[in-house]
Amino acid sequence: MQHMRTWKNKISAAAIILIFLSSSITSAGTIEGSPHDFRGYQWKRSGEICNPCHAMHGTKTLPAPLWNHDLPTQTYIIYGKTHSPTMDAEVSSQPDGMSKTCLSCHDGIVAPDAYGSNTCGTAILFNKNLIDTFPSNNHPISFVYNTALAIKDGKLYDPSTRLSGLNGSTGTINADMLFLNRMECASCHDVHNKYAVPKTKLLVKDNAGSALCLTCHNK
Amino acid sequence: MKKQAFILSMLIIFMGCASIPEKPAAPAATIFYPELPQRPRLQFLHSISGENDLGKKQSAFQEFLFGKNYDQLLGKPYDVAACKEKIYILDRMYKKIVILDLASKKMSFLNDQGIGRLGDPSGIWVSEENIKYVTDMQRKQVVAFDGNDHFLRTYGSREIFEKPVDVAVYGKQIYVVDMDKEQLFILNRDTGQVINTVGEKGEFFKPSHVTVGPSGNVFVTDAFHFVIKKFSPDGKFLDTIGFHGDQIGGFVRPKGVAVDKNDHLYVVDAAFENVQIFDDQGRMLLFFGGPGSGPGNLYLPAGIAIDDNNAASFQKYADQNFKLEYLVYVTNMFGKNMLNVYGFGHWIGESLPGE
Repeated sequence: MQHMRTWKNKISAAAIILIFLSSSITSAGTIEGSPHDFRGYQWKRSGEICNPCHAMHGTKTLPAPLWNHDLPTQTYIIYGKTHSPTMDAEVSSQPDGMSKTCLSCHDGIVAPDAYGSNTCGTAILFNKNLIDTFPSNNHPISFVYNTALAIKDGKLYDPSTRLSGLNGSTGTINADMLFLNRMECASCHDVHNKYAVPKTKLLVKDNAGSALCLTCHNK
Repeated sequence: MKKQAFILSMLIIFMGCASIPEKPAAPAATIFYPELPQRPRLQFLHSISGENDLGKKQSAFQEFLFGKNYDQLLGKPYDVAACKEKIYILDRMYKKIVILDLASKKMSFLNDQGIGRLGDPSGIWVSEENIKYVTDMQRKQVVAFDGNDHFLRTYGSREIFEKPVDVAVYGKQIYVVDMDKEQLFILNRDTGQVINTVGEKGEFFKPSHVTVGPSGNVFVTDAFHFVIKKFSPDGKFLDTIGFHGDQIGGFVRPKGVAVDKNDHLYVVDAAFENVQIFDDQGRMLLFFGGPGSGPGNLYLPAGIAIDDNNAASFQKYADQNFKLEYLVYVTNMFGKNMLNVYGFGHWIGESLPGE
């Protein structure tokens, strides 16, 4: 419980820092006209940019399902992760809430394959070190990147002190690029096109000279 | 006494050799939807992530050679279909069809060499005649394999399809959804000719999945309109099921669809990580799965299939008071449980309160 509270504090602190930093960053781009703006898609649609990714609650009031009368809630959990009583630590190495948001569309069919294989699961099944088993074409996601990992790896910068260098930000990797201390899809990919680096796959930073890679990797 | 000790020690040695390393035992808890004491309609039965989950015993020698547990694994299952004693998984990591043989308890790839080679398969349907129809986004075709899993023929071409992503077959008609053309194509199964198309007026926004019900009605997942659209066998629009939203009966990332023999529509949602069941009036009956990694939970699910032929093979996983009628398979793109097997059935135990 104490542990949980510490986490919550850290999360709140990180969120506050993130909000503060994001407001101080000069943001050139917006989602308008970005690859995630579907308004011009073939036939003009409703014109709501946010609609494809962000679900509204809907206005309908529905009766409980006919076969199940005892429902505690009328809304679903979206991209849940810690709601199962049988949840175990292993699963933290699977794509979690943040990255699931991306992967539910980027499944290789509805949108380009963002994360081709189930390497996380395979690594678990074979009980190997997660970081060692990812193939070169998929960067691992949904793992904790902290000082301890940087020390253990030896070739990673400490995310709590290393600056992200994102578009004029003076924040650290942890503040600007990690989510609850975790590396997620959005650590490198700027889904809302805030940084507007042209001709990249919505990268948060131009990777010329591997600048994005070398933000974290000390090579 | 000596003899007894000898027999005992031999027995121990024998048992030692024969002991089979298995995945942790199936969960003791019975997962029903809805939970008891409401009348259960579905039970979570089993997860299949590799060959060993098919129940084949691994010998000590095999274990010595190949290590224990998973020698063959599923990669990223996206779609699923089944016929008697076989489950076909469309695996997006391998870009192949994986065959799970329930009789021999073996896992293998469908042989798609030569002219039948699959480039970028996305959806699969198995007809009553045990013909496999596979949409291929690279070939821009539907590739068919016969009852022996050998190449049979193709349907369509680059002139017709842009991005065929899913297929369903009913009688003499083949239904194909094309995500880029945003159309539903109806083809004649014998001639391969296009009989009709739906969606030329912009009815769909990225349609992603299609299925056919027992009476031939066609259901299309209109992914970015966040609804399921229902059509008559010849393509006449009939109804819309669901709406955009996170309330019960809504959709956020609708994906695979399936219809059972009672005209109940099953819809996978990758955001809720559940499956919602609707009756033929579009009324909500039940939802199952849910996020997490526990038994019965779903992890970025995509495909679904209803299997009327193999319930007997899975009855052993069912509660003794639950008689299975048919199976429901749901694929998970991630997580440790790749294919979840649920059973639709009937409670045969003591009477339930309130009934």
